[in-house]
Order: sequence, then structure tokens, then C-alpha cells
Amino acid sequence: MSLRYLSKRLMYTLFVFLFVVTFNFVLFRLMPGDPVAMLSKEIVSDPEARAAMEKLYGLDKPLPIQFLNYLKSMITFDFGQSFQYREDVWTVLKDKIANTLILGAASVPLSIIIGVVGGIIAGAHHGKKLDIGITSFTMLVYAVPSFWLAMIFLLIFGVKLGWAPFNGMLTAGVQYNSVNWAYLKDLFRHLALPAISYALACFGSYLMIMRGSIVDIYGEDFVLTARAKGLSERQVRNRHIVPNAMLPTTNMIVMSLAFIITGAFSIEVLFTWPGMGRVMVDSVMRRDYPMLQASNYIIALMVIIANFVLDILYTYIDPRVRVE
Amino acid sequence: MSERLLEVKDLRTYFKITAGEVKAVDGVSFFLNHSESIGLVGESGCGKTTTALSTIRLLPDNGYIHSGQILFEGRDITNLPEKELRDFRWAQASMIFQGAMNALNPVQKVSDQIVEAILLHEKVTKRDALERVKGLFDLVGIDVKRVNAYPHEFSGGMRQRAIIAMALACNPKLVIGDEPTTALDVMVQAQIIDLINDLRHKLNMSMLMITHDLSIITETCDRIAVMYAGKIVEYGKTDVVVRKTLHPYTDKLIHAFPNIYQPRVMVESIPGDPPDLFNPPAGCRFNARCEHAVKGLCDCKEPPLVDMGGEHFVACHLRGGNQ
Ligand SMILES: Nc1ncnc2c1ncn2[C@@H]1O[C@H](COP(=O)(O)OP(=O)(O)O)[C@@H](O)[C@H]1O
Ligand code: SF4
Ligand SMILES: [Mg+2]
Repeated sequence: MSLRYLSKRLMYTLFVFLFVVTFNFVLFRLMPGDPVAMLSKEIVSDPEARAAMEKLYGLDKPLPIQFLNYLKSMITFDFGQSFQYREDVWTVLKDKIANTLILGAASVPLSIIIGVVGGIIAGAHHGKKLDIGITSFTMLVYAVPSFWLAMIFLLIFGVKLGWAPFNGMLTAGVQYNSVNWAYLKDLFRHLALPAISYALACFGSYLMIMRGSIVDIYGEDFVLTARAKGLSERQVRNRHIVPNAMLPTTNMIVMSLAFIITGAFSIEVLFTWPGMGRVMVDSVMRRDYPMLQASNYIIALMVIIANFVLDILYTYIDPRVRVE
Repeated sequence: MSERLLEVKDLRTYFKITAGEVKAVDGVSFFLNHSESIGLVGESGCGKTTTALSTIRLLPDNGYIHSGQILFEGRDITNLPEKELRDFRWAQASMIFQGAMNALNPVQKVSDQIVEAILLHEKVTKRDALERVKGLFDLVGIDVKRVNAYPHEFSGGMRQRAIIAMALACNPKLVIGDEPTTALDVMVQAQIIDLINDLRHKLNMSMLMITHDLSIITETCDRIAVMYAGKIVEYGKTDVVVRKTLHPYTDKLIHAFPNIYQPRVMVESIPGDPPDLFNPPAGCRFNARCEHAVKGLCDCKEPPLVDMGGEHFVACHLRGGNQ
């Protein structure tokens, strides 16, 4: 990978970042309503109090200065006070993000593996019973709303069979002084149901994309060449078809990784997982504006970063990108 | 040098489709001697590719060899077990495919794709294989410095050269070219044909060249087999078939194509379309388009392929087919 390419992508990423921040800023200014009124419970009619409020929030400054302040606060993750927690937004949010990432780390690799392997198997048996079986199952799971699926899971394995806990991240009331074995065991037990439900909710799109690319690539001329060379079906698949089919699938996987951070709202809510998805739902309910804005910003940031990572990753998996 | 390298006997290759069977190759016979080249010519859809794919048994899933024999140095390919078949492919018979643009894996270095073929069939080190690839690049006129290139870094003509290099990698006895130049522009076409001719003489290799463009065959091949609607209608030494054309279809073909070394001009195209191989017409399959068709004969009775002497065969009622 050339330095030129890297700096070009970096510039582009920076540009997108600035665009998103500006867009957010403008959007906020353009929103109907009086920000001061939005920020306080009582109607502020006293001009002095109003001026004080405006000063407090920097609304008395000219727009360009406001923008620079806004930019600075975004870069330093200074999102202000959460309405609902009465605490610094980022202090609250970073723990929630960590919790969501734990859930994501437990479920996403699982769904990627199921999706990619399942997609290869289905694609390689295109039109045969195995493919129809896998595809129908996947479509079924995919079509079912994830909260419903998670609910069924919760009811069967959590409530009826009692195999695993389904409430929170750790057993309520138990205190752990450090990250020790007992803590991890407790965490893993609590992870089981939400992680598996989450994986089930996610693997479908990976599988269908992988299967679709595999099927497409089976029809390519170079596959015929590979067979004519005397490679076995398995060698053709592993050396020629899968590496090509991984291109669109990688694209989709990396992009979806950006959204791990939002968590599966429904799954976090259902299993009372203290993650970011739940915080966002709560924030909508309680009109916790700073929290919502921060969450949106973090998501946008993740998407931008994922795009950048993808650009870099592609130079390794697709030689056609390298020449640029 | 008269020993048969390839002998195809009454080959029938069908495709299963929902409505029944497409008889894409319907009783094809021809032979090819060592270091000879044969051209299979005919309009699109007459079963040329299917014939070629049958000889290395690389048919699509719904295709199968219904009957007939494909003898390669006396060994019947049609009933070769899977493993032996894989060993046979490329080491004995390699193929240059139609789609020059997509015949190489886009995410693998060209040289690696050639090395792969060599390592699959021969016990050599990777380094030796790579050395051979460099030699092959040189042979087909690609700068050896480009040995680390990916397919997209090559022009269409260079890609086709690379594919030719790949086809030669294991020193096969037979190289099959399925319209190796159709995807290229005219200038490059001529260069590739020259290259193929050159290599054929240098390496003394046998070739089965498929094309719908008769002028390419007259440049390249010792023998011509003219195919129409799943059957061979005329077959013989190139100069004989071209100078003493017997079949009305061959005659039309000769007039339909200009010499490839001359600029393309509008030529007389053959009126009508080849018949549907799902439901081929009775009698001579060419009768609907033939000016010489005899009512009550050509549309009822199928003309057999008759030896007219001097290894010149024809299937036409007007040309001795009545015997
Ligand atoms: N996979 C397939 N399934 C059904 N019919 C096919 C298939 N492949 C080729 N055919 C049919 O077989 C006939 C011969 O095709 P082909 O061998 O490709 O002809 P050519 O190479 O001379 O253009 C055509 O009528 C074509 O439609
Ligand atoms: S057999 Fe009859 S229809 Fe067929 S080519 Fe000869 S003359 Fe024409
Ligand atoms: Mg063809």
C-alpha cells in the first residue's frame, strides 16, 4: 500500500468527518424551537435569566465561534451533562459502549462464522436440498423480528429450562473486586442467551451475501479455467471461489461492525443488558438530548472509521484496489 | 506421425432442461493426428463449445455424454474415473477459453495461477515452476518483468497471451482453443493468431481450434470440421475443403467471412438462423436455409457423412449422400 493512497484515504475520511459534524451542527441550529426553552423545564421569560442561559450554553457567541466550540467539544468527546443520569455524557456512555462491545465480541464472530461458512456450503450446493434447507432456515430466522426470536430464546432456555440467566450482565447483588475467574464465569453465563440470540439475529445477512457471491462466482470463466487445470472441486472452491466471494462479504461485515456499537436495541432491552442500545432507547423515552446526540455522533464516527478500515483492508484482499 | 492423438467417435452430448433434452452434439466424429491442428467451425450455438468441453469432460452440471467415445491416445475419456480425469486435464489437454477477459482469477497473480497448474501436475519446486513461468512469458511475448502482475494490470491481448502461456505450462499434447480471439479487437486478434501459429510450429503441438470465423482456421489449421446444428457436415484437409467445397453450408460460411488480415467489410451473412437443438428438424438440418434443398428428400431423410476420398467427408444428399 502506498503512502499516497493512505494519505488520500485519510484526507477523505477527515473530510467526511467534518461534513458529518457540520451537518449535525446545522441540523441542530435549523431545528424548530427555542433551544433555551428546550433546555429548561420552565418557560424562561425573564430576559436576564435567558441571557444567562444563552451565555452558559455559548449561544450568545457568533455562529462561526459556536461552530468551532461545537467542533472542539465533539473532538474532545465533551458532550455535556446527561439529562437522565445528571452526569457527564461520555462518562456514562463509555461504560455502556464497553458493555455493548462485550456483547458484540461474544456474538459477532459467531454470526460471521455461521454466516460465512453457511454461505459457502449453501452456495456450493446451489439449488440442491442442502442449499434450500440452509436458505429457508436463514430466511425464516431473518424474517422473524429479532426481539421475538430473543423472547422465544429467553422463555425456553432462560425461564422454562433455566439453563442460563437472562437478566443483566452479572448476578444482581454480587460484588466483584477485580476481574477474576468468578467474575468471568458470571459474565459468560449472563452472556450466553443474549449473545446467541444476537448472533442468530445477525448471521442471516452475512449468509445470504456470502451465498449470493459464491453462486455468482461459480459462473465465472476463471472457475471453468481452474477446473480445466485439473483442480478438484474442493480446491476450486477454496482457492478461487471463496477468496473472490469474500470481497463483497467483507465489505458488508466491516460495515455492519460499525453498527455493533448501537447494539441490538431489542436484545439489550429484553435481557436488560446495560449497553448502548438500551441507553439510546431510554434516552429517546426521556428526551435525553445530549445523550442522544452523543450516541448519534459515536455511531457516525464508527461508520466513518469502518469505511476507512475497509479501504485499507481492501488493498490487501483485492489487488485491483492497489494500483490507484 | 500418423498415429491418432484424438479420435472422437459418434459423440452425443445432451443437456437436460426442464422441457426435455437439448441435443447439442448429436453424433459427431472426427480425428486428429499428433502435431496436427483441426479447426471446428460453425455458427454460434451449433455445439462447438460443447464438443470441446466434452473432450475434457468439463460439461456444465446439466450436460452429459449420452453415448460415443473420445479416444485420447487410445484411452477412452468418457469413462475415466474422476481422479484420472483430473490428472488428464491440462497435463494432456489444456484449454484456452472464450472469455479472455475473465478467464483469470482477478485476485491472484497471473504467474501464481500458472504455477498452480504446474505444481498440480508435476513434482517440481515452486521456484522451478516460477522459472518455467518466466520462460513461458518470454515465449508468448510478455515482458518477464511483469511476472508479479495481476490480471487487471494486463491489457486484453496480454491476458490472452498469459492464458496461452498457462495452456502450455504442462506441455500438453493437445491445446483446445475455444474462440481464443473473439473477445479481442481486430488488431490484437491478428497478433494472437500469429502467436498461436508460431507456437504451434515451434512446439509441434496438436490443436483443436474452435471458431465461428472461418478465416482464422484457414490461417491456423491442417484440417477443418464444419459443424451445423450438432453435427459435422463437412470434414477434411483445410485446403481441400476451402478449394473444393462440397457442402452448401460450408460454401455460405466461406463467403460470410473476410480474411482477418484485411479490414472488416460488410459481408454476405447467411440468411436465417440455425435450428433449435431442442427440437431439430427432420432430414438435413440445413434444409430450411439451403438453396439446393430437394423437396421430399432433404426434409425427410438425413444425409450420412460420406467419404469422398482423400479424407474428405461430406453430409449432403447432392454430394454422394444418396449412395
Ligand atoms: N448448460 C446448457 N443447458 C442447456 N443448453 C445448453 C447449455 N449449454 C449449451 N446449450 C445449448 O447447446 C447448444 C450448443 O451450444 P454451444 O456448444 O455453446 O455452441 P457453440 O459453442 O457452437 O456456440 C446451443 O443450442 C445451446 O443453447
Ligand atoms: S442435403 Fe439437401 S438441404 Fe442439406 S445441404 Fe444438401 S442439398 Fe442442402
Ligand atoms: Mg461456443
